[in-house]
Amino acid sequence: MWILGIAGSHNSGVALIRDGKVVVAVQTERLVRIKRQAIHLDRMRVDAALAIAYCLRYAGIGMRDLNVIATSTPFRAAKPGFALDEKALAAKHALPSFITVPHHLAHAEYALHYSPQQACNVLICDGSGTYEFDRAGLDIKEDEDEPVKFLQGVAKESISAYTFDGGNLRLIYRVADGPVRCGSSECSPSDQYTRVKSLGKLWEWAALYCHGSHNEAGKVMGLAPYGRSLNRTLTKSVVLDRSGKPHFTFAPLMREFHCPNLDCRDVSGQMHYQDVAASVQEVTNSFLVDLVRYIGARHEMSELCYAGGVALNGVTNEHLRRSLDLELHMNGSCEDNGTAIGAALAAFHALTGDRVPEEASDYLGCRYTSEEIAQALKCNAGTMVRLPRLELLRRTARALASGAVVGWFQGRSEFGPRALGNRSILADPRDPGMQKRLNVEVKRREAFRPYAPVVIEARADEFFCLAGYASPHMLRVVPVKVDFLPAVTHVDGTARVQTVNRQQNALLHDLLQCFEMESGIPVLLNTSFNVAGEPIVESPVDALRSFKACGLDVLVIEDNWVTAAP
Amino acid sequence: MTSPLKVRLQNDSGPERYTACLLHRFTEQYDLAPWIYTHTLFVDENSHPHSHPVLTLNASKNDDEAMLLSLFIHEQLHWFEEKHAERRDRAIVETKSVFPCVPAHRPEGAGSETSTRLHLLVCYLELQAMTQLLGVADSLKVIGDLSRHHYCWVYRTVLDNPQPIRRILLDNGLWPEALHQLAEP
Repeated sequence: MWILGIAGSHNSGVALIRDGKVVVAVQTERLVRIKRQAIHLDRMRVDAALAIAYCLRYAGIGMRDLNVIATSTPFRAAKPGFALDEKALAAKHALPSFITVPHHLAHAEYALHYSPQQACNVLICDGSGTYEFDRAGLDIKEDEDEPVKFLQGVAKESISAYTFDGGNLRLIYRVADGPVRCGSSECSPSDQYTRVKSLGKLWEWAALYCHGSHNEAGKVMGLAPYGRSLNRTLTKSVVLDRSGKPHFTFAPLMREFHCPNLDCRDVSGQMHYQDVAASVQEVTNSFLVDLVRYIGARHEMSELCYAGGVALNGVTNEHLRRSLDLELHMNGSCEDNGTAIGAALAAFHALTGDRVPEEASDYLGCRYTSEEIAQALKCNAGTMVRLPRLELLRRTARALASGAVVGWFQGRSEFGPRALGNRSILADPRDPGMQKRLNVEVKRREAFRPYAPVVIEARADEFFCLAGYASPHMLRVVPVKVDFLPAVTHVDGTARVQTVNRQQNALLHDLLQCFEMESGIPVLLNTSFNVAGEPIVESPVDALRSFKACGLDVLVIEDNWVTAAP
Repeated sequence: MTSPLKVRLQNDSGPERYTACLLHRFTEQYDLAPWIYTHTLFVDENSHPHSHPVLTLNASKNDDEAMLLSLFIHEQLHWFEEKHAERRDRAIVETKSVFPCVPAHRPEGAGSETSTRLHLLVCYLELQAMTQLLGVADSLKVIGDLSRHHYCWVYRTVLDNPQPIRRILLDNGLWPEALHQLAEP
């Protein structure tokens, strides 16, 4: 049974599953080359068509082979317009039936899919999901287990918790706060944050305030360690009371904070913004600990599947794990693009009653053939040589150890916001000047922004305080144990670590081994293969373009060692 | 899962059965399919490993799985070379331009000048295969150990001066399909 899943969201994606297993998935932004490209399901446009075609082409099937198309959207359009309005066209192309899935349920199914399928709780926390008044019109209804609900008016879900008993997933907690339909012309941008109340919206506000774009929550996270959490308006802006009800007090933020960074300037060194970021991080940490503790008191579990945009916050994730001694199960696409997979999985479960769990992996995109790569590389005026694996790895490791910055393009692209070693820029983490060089010359981004390390899983505890747990998706920010990794150690002595073993990514693992032979450490700096403001590269052509734009020293694309023209 | 190998035991002894068991397990543990050129094997505890007419291993590496795997791949690669005998023979001749003097006698060489030259090709591919299967550190350790045991000059050359051997293999179309793509699907 083939099911196509579509995340109709501000961070959209398309996925294809077969008999309950994920075959391929892609974020729309990778294909249209516009960061956070949305898919609006009200009509078929080229962005959605590209992503759908990408998945079908990978699987070698056509629309006629699909049994179902499942959609999940936090937008108002619950039913895809192109499915409903053009019936004649649908019949002509033998379009399958559509199944609409609640947004948070899609997040939950995605998180659960990659868990051990044991009894656990599932927590979803984001900006906003399905409108409560849309819920009755959706094709899939959630099972409930006497849930605690805090619903305000006609709001959208922003926090949901489910309990999973090994077979059934049941809603136990829901928050949908903030009375109106925002995001339309009915309200101004600042209205959004006073009316739609959620933790995700607080981060969007902080991102807009500090960095001029509500999409830059990741930058706020990077800025926070420079600041102090002193502002009571912020630290009291989200509070959970004893009854489990969250109180979002956002209106005072609009009155108190008058200097939004609307021209997107670099706020490195500016204490005001640093303190805002630190306060938002602090309130997030304490609120989520209170929330998970509250849910755990009603449905005790030591394991938690966790997704939603807020789950990308590696600092909070680690805070949760340490404060509550939890085992967290997460996969890389916690944010909305993951609901493309989740919607398809929810539809599969609804149709068959089955779940087919898989090992967590983010390498769900396409790989490109030698011919496609050769075709792309024809445009390169520099030198190019094909090398066997061992020589390629040794040469790359030697180059990295001598200070080169390397574009690394291998195998299937990642699905999600993190470059996990298949579309990465790699560098030497020991070099104290590397962070500055990358920020200024390569990625061209703000000076305060940190870089992440990738380390061989079996060796990770020698360098990072991981307490024996792996971090394969870069979703944990933990203290660095050593003082010789300045390029990947943030100002507060932490790093957002990726651990890798040979089963997950053999080539990256082997490269780390080679780098250890050169440098004595199995750790590399790993950042996404793109320049600021651009999505991560997807195709060989994208890679070559970014290679030239970034001024990288070397591009390793599959087995090709490529240098730019002098 | 059915093993793609047909393993026959010469004496049906405990060590031979254990070797066979390890070989079957390798086929489940690693993606060996691209490296298998003959499916029929003998395990004979009294024999020296050899590739033809039937690939034969002994039971002496039961306590070192990586070494047994390397041995298995090595003998399979002789079958790969034999499949392309004309190209192999050209490549052997070409090694003379890069390595005019090679040791013939064991343990530095492989018993004759021609065999030593042939083994430059086989052992180079053995290292590449082992890197793909086990990773860099483990494969270098195995090949390093081998370089102190037999075909010593050959394995040392493969480790220290691989580029000319690669060039000869590529120029003569002796490049196994498995080495064309780097990353796993």
